[in-house]
Amino acid sequence: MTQGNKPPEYLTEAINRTDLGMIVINCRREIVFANDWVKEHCTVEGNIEQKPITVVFPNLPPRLNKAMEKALNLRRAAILSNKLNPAPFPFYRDKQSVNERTLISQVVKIKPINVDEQYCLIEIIDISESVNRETALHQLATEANLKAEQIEAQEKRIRGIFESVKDAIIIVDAGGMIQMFNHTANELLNSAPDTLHNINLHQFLKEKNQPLSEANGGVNQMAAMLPLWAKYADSIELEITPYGKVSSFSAELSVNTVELSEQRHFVVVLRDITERKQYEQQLETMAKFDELTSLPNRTLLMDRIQSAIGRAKRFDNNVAIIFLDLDRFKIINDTLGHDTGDKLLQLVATRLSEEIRELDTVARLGGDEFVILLESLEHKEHAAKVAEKVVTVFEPAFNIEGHQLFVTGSLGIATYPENGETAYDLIKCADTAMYAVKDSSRNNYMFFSEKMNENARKHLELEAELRLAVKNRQFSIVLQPQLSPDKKILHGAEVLVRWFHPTKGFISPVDFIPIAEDSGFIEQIFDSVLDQACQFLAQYKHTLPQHFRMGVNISPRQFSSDTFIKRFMAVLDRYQLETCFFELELTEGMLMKRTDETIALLRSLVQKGFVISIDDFGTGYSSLAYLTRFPLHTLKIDRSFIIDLPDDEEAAQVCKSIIGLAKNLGLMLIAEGVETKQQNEFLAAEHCDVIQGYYFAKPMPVDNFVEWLNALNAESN
Amino acid sequence: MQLSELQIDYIKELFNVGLGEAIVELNDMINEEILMSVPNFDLFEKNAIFEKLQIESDRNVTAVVLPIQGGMECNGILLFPAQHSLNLVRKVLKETSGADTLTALEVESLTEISSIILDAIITSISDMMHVSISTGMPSAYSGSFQTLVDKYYVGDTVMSVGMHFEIKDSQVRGDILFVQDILVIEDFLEKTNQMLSELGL
Repeated sequence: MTQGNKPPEYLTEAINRTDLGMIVINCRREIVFANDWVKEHCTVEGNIEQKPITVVFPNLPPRLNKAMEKALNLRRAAILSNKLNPAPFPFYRDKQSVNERTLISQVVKIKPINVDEQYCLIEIIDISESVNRETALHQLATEANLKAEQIEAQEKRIRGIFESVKDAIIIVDAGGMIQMFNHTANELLNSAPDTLHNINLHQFLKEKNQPLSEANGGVNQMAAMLPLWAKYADSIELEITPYGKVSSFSAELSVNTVELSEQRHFVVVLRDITERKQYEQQLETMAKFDELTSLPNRTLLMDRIQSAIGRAKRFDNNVAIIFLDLDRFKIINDTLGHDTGDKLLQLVATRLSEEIRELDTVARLGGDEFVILLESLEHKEHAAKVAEKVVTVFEPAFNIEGHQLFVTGSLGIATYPENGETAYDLIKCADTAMYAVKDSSRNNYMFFSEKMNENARKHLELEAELRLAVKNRQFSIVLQPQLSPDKKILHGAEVLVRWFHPTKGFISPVDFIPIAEDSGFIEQIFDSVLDQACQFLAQYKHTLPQHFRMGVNISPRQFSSDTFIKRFMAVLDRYQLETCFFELELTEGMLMKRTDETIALLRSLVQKGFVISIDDFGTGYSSLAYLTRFPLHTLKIDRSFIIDLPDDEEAAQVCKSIIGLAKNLGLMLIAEGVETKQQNEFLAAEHCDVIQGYYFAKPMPVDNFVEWLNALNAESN
Repeated sequence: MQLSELQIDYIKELFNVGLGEAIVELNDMINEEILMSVPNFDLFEKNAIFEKLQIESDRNVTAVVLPIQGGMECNGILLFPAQHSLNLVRKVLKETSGADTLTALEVESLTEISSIILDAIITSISDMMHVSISTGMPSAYSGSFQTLVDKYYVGDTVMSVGMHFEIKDSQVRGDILFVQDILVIEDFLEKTNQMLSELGL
């Protein structure tokens, strides 16, 4: 400012008191005026006026210098914002202390002033407060943004879980009104998106086929039930009826309390358990019913018998158990295959079910065993009537895949209260009675009697004694010669086993062989028999005629054993005997099982030099077609055909036919059980090859046989 | 008013030269490479502005207004769609987060940047046309486009120069507008023609 034109004092005072810095420079860049604010905040010592601004403030930024230039030269105004030029001038707060002073954040405005010559006004505005505030706000905003991002991410994660679970998740208020739900809830309840909002959950729930609302008083009840479920129940099973549907499905609910907006809510997790229920039901069915016939199985039968006994006690009446086992079912299974066997069992199950009252039960225990439970019988004799009906059930043939199958059943009956107080006892007694039928006639029924138990006990006793007998070598062999009808040629001898019990004496093979077969002792018994037979052969083979054969009976169990041939050969090796001494006697039943394997086994036996014969021919189920396929050498006519010879016309015809058959097939024929001269003459006339029986000789111990042999030799000489 | 292609090219060149200056200055300040271009130039009557710029009247815009005196009396306006001004400032200031509107300090920075650009263009015009042009204080505006037009578009003619910024792969669109009296424009064009004839064109 020019000295001559001094402004009024109040104006200078006003300018000095403003809160912004003001500097005026002339066209030579000299500071012509600086107000008190500038002097107070700058650190330059002494008077700054009349000095070039670039001298007073040597480090001004180029942007400021350029703006001042433009203002002075081109009369352009300019603004220097704080963010781009934080503090163009070195102005400080608390400038006295170097340590405490802080640079003032500034906005600088450059304004050209044109009076008598060109000037430039520089305004410096202290915006430190604004900068601090904005920095703080910015920081807050940044933090808030970060928090918001975190919350959003978490929300997304939770939403993701919420929406992806296979269970329906429904959040209801204290009264059961639906507030929130996931996608699965929409699907399960069959609702359009968002329509579940503010609908009460109760309208979907049913308890025991009755809407919950009716069963429990509706909405109000819902408010009462929810806290109870949340507190006391891990899960509740209910029926759910989806929106607009009549049918419902089984669901499992679990309820938890949750505070939302300071109000009690409930998280209801709802799971469709239809599949689980079906699976459980299936398991239960599988556990209680027989898969093949759909009849109750043993477990369910035992339950039912026990309940029936309970009722019989209360009402003072009878319960009967009929134990049914099919006769010769095994043969059907073995010859026609398991599929046919299974179909037969299904047909039997159907026929049995048709014969009994609805009150009664037919169950399948397994295999070919059925049990019929008869309840509330006035008299136990009623059971006999049912049993008779059951026997007749088997009279018509069962037609399976073109096979006309005739099957019979053996039935044993036990009754409550006479034969036992428990299901187990009754089944056991009925089973025993059934076995008694099998042992006698088959295709019949019998009531259980204590005597049967006695037999069963004997059976067990015998089994125990067999064990000892094997150990103590109580078995010996006897030999029964086989001769030509004219007694001139000794064909061989059948080896038979004898058991001399130390106290009971002679025990018939008829009694102990089946038990030995069942219990497995038969193999050890056979080993002993074979050993003794070999001993005999080894000792006397030189005195025996050429082609002498020892007939040994092979049991089914041995025949199906993998080690049979190996063991047999080992014994022969030990005694250095050839296989041609042995004629292996098999029964028809053994040959009819697994025929392909049997043929292979027989061929390998024949290859080794053994001779194969069929024992008891005519009593079993021989298929004549098979006879031609087996490498057989001998047929042995069963004694039952011989016994009535020669007078019984029918027996004579059968014998003639069998002999004719053997001749035609080129097989040797042995007649067993020949006891009389007439029988021998008849067979000789029919050209039967070999005779075995009392007529010529009884089975004899080895020593006696040797004597007999010597006598025979002397006789023929 | 029809302009010849030559006139348009010359005017565009004026602006390009100005922008070149502005870029040099801005680059010095922010140490970040900025690319700018002037793709179009137009001259139209004020009431055609909404259609020409394709900005609805109620659309929110940010603008920096520079009063121009001397050889060319008018308002120079640098106009941004709201989000673009935010992008420009944040890119220049290298700020990544913050509010979704400009803060007071950011508005000041926008004002400074815009005024540097406008000033450089004016300098270019005044240099080439040998006229003296002075400016007043730039100020920022934020609000509806309609209000901006009502408040600052004092003349009846608009000279519009479209402008593209590119900072750090980010595209920012802006429009430089000079709103003035038709007489000013005619004067401006007359001077343009003089320049062209001096150049022998």
